[in-house]
Amino acid sequence: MAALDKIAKIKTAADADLNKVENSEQLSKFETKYLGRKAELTGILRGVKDLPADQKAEVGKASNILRVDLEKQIEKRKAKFMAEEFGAKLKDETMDLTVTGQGNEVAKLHPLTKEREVIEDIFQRMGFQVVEPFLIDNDYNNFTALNIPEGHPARDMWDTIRVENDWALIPHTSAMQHRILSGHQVPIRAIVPGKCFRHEATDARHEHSFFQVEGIYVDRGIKLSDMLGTFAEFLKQYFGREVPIKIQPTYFPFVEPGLEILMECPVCRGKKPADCAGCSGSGWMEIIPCGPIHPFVLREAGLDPEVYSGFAWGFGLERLIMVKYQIDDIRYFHSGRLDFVSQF
Amino acid sequence: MHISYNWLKKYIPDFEIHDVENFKNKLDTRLSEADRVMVKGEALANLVIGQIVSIEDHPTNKALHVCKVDVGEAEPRTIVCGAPNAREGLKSVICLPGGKVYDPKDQTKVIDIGERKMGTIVSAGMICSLAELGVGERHDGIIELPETAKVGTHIANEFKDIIIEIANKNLAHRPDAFSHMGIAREISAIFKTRFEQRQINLPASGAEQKTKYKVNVQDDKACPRYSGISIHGIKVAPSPLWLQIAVSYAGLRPINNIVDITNYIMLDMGQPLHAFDADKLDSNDVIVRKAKTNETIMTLDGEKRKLPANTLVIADRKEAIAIAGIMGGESTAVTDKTTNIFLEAANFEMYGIRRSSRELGLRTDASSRFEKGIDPAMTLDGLTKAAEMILDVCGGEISSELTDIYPSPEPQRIVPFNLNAVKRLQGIELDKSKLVDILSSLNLEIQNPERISADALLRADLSTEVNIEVPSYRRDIKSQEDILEEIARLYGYENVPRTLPKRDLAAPSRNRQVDNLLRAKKLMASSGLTEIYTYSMVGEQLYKDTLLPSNNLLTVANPISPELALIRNQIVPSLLTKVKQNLARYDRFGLFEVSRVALKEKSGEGLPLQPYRLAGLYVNGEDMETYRFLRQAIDNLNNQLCDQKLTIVQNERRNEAYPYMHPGKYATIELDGETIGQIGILHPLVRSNFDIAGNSVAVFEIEMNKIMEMEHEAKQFNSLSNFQPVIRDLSFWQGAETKIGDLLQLIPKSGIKYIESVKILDVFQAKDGKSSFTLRLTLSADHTLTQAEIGEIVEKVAAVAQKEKHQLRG
Repeated sequence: MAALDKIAKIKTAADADLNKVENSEQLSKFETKYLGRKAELTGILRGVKDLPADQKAEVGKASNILRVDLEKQIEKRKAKFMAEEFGAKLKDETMDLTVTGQGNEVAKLHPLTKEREVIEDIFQRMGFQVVEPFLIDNDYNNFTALNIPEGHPARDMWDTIRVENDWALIPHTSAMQHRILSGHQVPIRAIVPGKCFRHEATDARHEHSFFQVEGIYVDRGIKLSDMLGTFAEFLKQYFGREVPIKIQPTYFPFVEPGLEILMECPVCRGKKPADCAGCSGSGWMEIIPCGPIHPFVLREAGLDPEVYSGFAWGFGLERLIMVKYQIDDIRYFHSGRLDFVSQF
Repeated sequence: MHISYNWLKKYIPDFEIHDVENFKNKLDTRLSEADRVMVKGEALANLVIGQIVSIEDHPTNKALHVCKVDVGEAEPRTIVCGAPNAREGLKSVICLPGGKVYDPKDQTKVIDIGERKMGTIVSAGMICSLAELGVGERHDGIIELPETAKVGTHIANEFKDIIIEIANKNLAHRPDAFSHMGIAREISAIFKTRFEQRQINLPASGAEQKTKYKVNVQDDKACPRYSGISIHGIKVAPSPLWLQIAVSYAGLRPINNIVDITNYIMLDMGQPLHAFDADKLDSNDVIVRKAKTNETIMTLDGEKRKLPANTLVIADRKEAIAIAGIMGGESTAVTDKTTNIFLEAANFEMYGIRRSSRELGLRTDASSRFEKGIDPAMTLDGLTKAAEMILDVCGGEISSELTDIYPSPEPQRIVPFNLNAVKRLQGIELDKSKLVDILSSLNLEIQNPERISADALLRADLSTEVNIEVPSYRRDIKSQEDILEEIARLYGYENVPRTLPKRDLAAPSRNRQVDNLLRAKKLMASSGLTEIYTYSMVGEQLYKDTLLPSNNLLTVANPISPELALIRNQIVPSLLTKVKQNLARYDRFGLFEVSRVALKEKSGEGLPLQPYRLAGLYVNGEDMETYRFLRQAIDNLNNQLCDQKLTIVQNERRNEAYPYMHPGKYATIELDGETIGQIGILHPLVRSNFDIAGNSVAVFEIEMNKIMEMEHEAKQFNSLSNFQPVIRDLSFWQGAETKIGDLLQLIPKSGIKYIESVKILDVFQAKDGKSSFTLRLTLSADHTLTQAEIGEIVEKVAAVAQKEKHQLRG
């Protein structure tokens, strides 16, 4: 049978030619020669349909076997040649990968914003709402509603920056207490992160513009022990570990008693060297001024102190951040320096 | 406040400080933080009392004297001394060779005193100043001692003491604690040590010359109690050493025996006193009255002061002789020549004293005590104890009846207290005997304690009300909460259990405004702007530099400095102050800030309107580049937070409202047809005012209140095409009067099919003023677009552009 002989001949020729192929260029020519549109085998395959019925099966089968066999052989060599050829080509090609990125660094949020978000998250998980304070508030909200009447010596504790009328830049976020207490349904759980102002000369530890995070909790049956437990929990969440605390009495007219929560100095961890940058040797840092809400403040907001009780606090946000990152100068926060913000 | 351990011991004789650390810690947690505990006088040695018997000029050094000093030895010693007050007859403190004193400039250092050759003379010791003995800071002369001081007495031990510095701020509500007696009472309760108070009786008056003082209190609200007495025949002199040490250690300067004794009583009991030179009063009338219109007084410090209306004064018939509770007058001041005094111990109402002290700008040790509201019961004890000391130290005798005007004595204060509050409001479980212990250690007496049942304190549901008698000196205890504070602090806050409040599972609602603001901040940061915070107070000059008027800003009544005298109504000026400093490190950068500002317009509540604003800027080399960078931030805000409701409208050259903008390069930002902000290139003049003329600066500012209120509904999703998109870039010469932004709006509205998006690829401004730009069209359809279809779309787009005078480039 002529067709079968032809196929056998093609195979012999192809096998011989294939052994001479040494690179992918020759392989490509070989492929064209034996499998291309004009190749003899392609012609045979194309003609199978016109063959007499008795030859169709046999020729079709033989030509296909040869085609598949050739394709396999080509594929096998192609992979080998490509690997060899790229290997040779890339042998001396390299580049310096120790250079850095193009300099499109990510822009940053200020640490006050970032830490505020962390703190808000902790308190929101504990069931607190977030409320924004005013920039300027009146004397009633700043002081009178907080049990600090006009002329009271406790007003000396706040060197306010006064504006026109009886307004002042808020001296503390506690200025929101009355609005929150009189405007919400009990149980009341809210935090008020915001900027406060004091008439004060600035130095590494003092700044006339600073942030506080006020907190307020009122419900039936809230106890002093609940306040201490809440702060222990907050500090644990914020610092990621149990933080030893100490409680000292102090005085704020809107809480009774006024307390200061101190945390173990995170710099020396209570080892108290006299030159400790964190605590100057006391081993402790004042961190959360707080106390059970004074009945006057509740009554002023229309809440019966016989029925409801609660606690409030207002800690300095910069102070907490300074403790966490060991920042040595509070003035950086309002400096507008990118080399400060870019570190967070 | 400086408290002396030796002084405390007069009230709590059994008390010892065994462990300073432990003592401080207990004081910190039970009363008020003890800032420092200082051991005093420990290093001093070989000090005697001596008297200068003769004095000559030093032969070679004019600044020095050569003194012969009797120190109780056979022969006087020769001591060289430079003090201006060294004089014959003066008694002082001598440090003998081998002795030790402190360095007056740094009292932590000790100086050894030996025989020392000064010029040709050998000095056998040193005459000491107070500072050299570690007593206060006075170093302007040697200590002057009264004639009664005993020459030769060894006195180094008299300086040994422990000084406890207690933080005042924690005790603003505790007028009783501003004295040694008060602190001793506290220590007695905290450390469970015996407190004793000597009964003081008024010394018998002298036989003759009974003066009759007529005290007339015209305002017994402002002066609830006035006590006084006169003493004749005193001798004003330096105070004895112990008194000088006591007053100095407590933080005051020794002056003379009368002044030191009145100060001593104030430091001892908390009752300020004042001594008038009785011979300088024009009569025996002492009047307590309000100042007259335009009345003035020369105060002890030599200042002539005009008295504000309502100032309470002490007056004779002629004139004011003291500002009540604040400072005495010069005309009746005690001097070295004074022999007769009228001694006042009064009680003044706190608010009045505080107001006057503020109005006068005069705060004294006396006023700071009165303005806390001291106990009127103290005047007599203070007066009596002072009189006793004066007779003892200064001589003389009582020469008048005791005057005591106290028209409305205070009744015994009784505070009702519900015992269950200890558990209910503090979470403390206390037994009855412990409660009684705590309260009685503070002289708080429960009436009928035997009626309290054993479990009254342990059951929050059981209501047991008792009455508690409060001593008059505890001005701060008025209600149940005040009693609770006393219980908790003496029980020890560290012993209070830590519990968590019980609450339901209701989730707190989120604050949309706060959330949106934070989203806006995050969008700014991801657009390449770094967040900063700047001051809300600004100065006139800053607004001038920004070409903005400042007369519409709220003013600060008490500015820290002229740069902080106004409240800003926008943020851009503050941001501009931060450009130059950052250019030192970065050649291109973006900044933004979010803050409330304040306007003169009032809210419904009567407060200034305080809208939130977001402002940003970007600094780089070329205007179109900086603008497009900053514009991207606004586009991101618009797309991500404003549901694309913001529009940027470029107006004609009228930038009166934003004078800091380049007049031809700014646009307004609008929301629902209302202008809420602006964006553009900074005016070159403003750049040069901020010393950043070499850079291009783009700025924007937006009012955020409406954006903060926005609720975001889920957007309709556009199904994705599975066919290959086609991208075509088309370049145009820009029409002279038309805007690329308008074309971007027109193309989607033109109804041309299959345009997925149109973006500006590039804008090029040629030097000759001719601009070109390239748009990128992304086309997609529900089938593979044919070349014919694509060609048709491009033609249609070019036609739309042509209408806008943009010419397709070849």
